[in-house]
Amino acid sequence: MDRDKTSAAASAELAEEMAALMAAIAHDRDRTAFARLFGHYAPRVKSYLRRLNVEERLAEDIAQDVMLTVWRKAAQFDPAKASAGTWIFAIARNRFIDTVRRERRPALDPDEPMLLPEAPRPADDSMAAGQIGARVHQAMSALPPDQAEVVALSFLEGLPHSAIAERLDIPLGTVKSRLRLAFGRLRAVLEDLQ
Amino acid sequence: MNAALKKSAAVAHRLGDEWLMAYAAGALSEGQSLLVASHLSFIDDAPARLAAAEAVGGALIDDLAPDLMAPGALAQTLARLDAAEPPRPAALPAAGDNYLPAAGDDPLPAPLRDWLGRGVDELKWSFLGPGMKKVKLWRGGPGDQRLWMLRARPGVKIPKHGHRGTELVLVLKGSFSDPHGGFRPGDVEESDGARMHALDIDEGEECICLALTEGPIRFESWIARAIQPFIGL
Repeated sequence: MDRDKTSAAASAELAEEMAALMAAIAHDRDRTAFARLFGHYAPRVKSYLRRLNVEERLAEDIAQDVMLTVWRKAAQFDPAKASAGTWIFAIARNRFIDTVRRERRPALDPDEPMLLPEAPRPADDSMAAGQIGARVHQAMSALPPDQAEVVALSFLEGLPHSAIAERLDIPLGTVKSRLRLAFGRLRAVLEDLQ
Repeated sequence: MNAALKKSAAVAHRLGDEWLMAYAAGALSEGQSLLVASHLSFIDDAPARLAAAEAVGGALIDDLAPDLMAPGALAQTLARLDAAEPPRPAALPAAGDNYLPAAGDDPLPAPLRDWLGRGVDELKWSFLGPGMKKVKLWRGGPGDQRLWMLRARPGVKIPKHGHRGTELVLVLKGSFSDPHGGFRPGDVEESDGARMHALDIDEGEECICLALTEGPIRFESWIARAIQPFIGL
């Protein structure tokens, strides 16, 4: 319990710090802030790509490109809608689909909603970002292991539902229901923030 | 914006959230992503739901053990910060490059229209059966997936058929009915392809659907089976 609290507080703190770095990059084109953001996310984006079986050299290149995109599009980051980690994840995922799978990813809206704020953003809502980050983190660490496992195989290995079913030797319907349940828990903790 | 594309909170038959999760994860094939994004574009709160699903990716990436970057990675990246944005490779146009403003009553949702770069009447429709036309859009992914569109005249009865795997049908215009209910624009019917099923296009208006099927169609009746080799689905 105490450990959960500590890790929730730590992830809120991390999310707030990353949102503040994003704000410094967007408003002041602050290179020191970029260097710190790079220090945290570039190695993790690379780690994400390596788990998707991208070979070392390409993973390195894409991770650097993703961070470059973060610099260029920082003004479009909206901390009220997503944490910096979520925004960077979406950029990395899209770049992976584009560069490695050589496919086009159809966006919900041709003007990618993740990258375009809908409304003028308040001066400082790194608090909101911290809360979103902490709650998602908390909900994720509270997931039953069988749900967490399916979520990780989907997000971190990019496996289709059918491949997850094969890997874990469980029915396809079970994979689907575990993902639905995991999403339901997440929605519940985010509901009052949206 | 035309009436068919007007978002509705009242899309009655929605895809399960496991599809949203897989779309957010980047775990869907291109054809599946197109169908899911097209479906979501009919649903009002889809952007917020998608943001919640993507937050899973954010939390996971924060928790990953960091990999080792190449020596000088930061310096290299810093040196590139001021460089002009490189042009995107021509083979993979950015979303939006093909975008044409919707013409009049074109029923295609934005993601599909953007992907196709054209409207519904500019597609090459070919014979599928009496009163039915089809256009093949994409083939790939695991399980020999095929993404195609069906255009059927009002009142047409689509004979009993099945597939391997899962069949997803998204209504773009008009409506159809089967034992599971009535399906209107924005609705998706997900069915187990192994089960033979038929559907009836409703009277009054033509019906256009986006379909994702796995493996070739199998028809129950011998007449439909006889023409199957010629329709290529």
